Amino acid sequence: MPNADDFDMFYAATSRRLVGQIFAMTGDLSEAEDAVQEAFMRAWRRWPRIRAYDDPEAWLRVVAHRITVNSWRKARNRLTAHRVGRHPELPGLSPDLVALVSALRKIPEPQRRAIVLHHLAGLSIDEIARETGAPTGTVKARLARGRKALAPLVSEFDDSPQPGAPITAARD
Amino acid sequence: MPETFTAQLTGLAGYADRNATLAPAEALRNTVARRTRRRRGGAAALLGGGALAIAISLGVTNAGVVTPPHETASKSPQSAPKPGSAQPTTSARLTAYQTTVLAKAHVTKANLAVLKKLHLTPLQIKALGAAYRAAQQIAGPDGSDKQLTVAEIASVVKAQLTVAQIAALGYATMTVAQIEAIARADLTAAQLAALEG
Repeated sequence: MPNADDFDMFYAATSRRLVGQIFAMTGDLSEAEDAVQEAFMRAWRRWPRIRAYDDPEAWLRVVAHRITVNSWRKARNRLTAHRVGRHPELPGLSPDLVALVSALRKIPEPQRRAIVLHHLAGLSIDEIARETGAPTGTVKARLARGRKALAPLVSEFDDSPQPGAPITAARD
Repeated sequence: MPETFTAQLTGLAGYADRNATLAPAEALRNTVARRTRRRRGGAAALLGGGALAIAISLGVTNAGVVTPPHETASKSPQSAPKPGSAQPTTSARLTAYQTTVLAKAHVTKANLAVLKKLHLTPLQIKALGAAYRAAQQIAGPDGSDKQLTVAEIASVVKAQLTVAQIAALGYATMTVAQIEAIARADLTAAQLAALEG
């Protein structure tokens, strides 16, 4: 099989990192695992082309993210359950991080994605704009709104402290 | 809060890194090869795959598409019985997602038949998955004890398994991975009812 070793090495090097990023975006580890594996399978089908990209990992992240979003769209009733009621179990996660997952779930998906790409994947505003297909101004606004919504939980975002203020979902 | 936000997010990613269960790259490549053969009309190529037992008894739809099981089941024309017409007993279909999850854990038709025989509802099966996982954590690979979370206890209680069901499960030789996969496949009541055995 041509390039199989190459693909396997790439998978070993990036798959877990991608699961971490998608997990931060979805709050559901099983969903993140499934989406990332599905994305890698799609990558393997067109591997000669994908491996030639400047950043194949970005392609995989976009595809994995789309897979999760599509699965939500296909089952809107389950999406509702996901956002308001169903909280996948996260055994072994510290209370701080459980609170963070919970807070991330409460902000709109585009803001969550921008926050994760910027603060976890280390992407610049321009890179996020390219990856999400949104103008840089929109990305900046999403980051600002996301940070504002998370401020009660994260002190470094909190420039106007409001102890105990609930995290509210700002509009996209 | 002493930690920076980036450090917190990194902590989340680290959790995923430690707990993620990913198939080896070779398994993914093999799955792609199987899907390609299937797409090319090789119905015969399906025979011999890991998902054979399940696919034969339940049928497979939407190859290659990760579809929530309830949606596919409700869309399936065969899942809605027509009044007055005789229905085949094995008409419930598994989505590609369900088939993959079950095949990955080597869940056999016999495993599923045990659950059917016990008349477990989808909710009970889900709770069972949580219970098995919890049990695994208590034992721990290194023998260390671990307390159940409130959610884990609640899910087991919510399942309302009878003593007879719990006892019968004791005789079923299913692994934790198999039970978890069945729970994760999120089979509908119709899919369970259509099982043979």
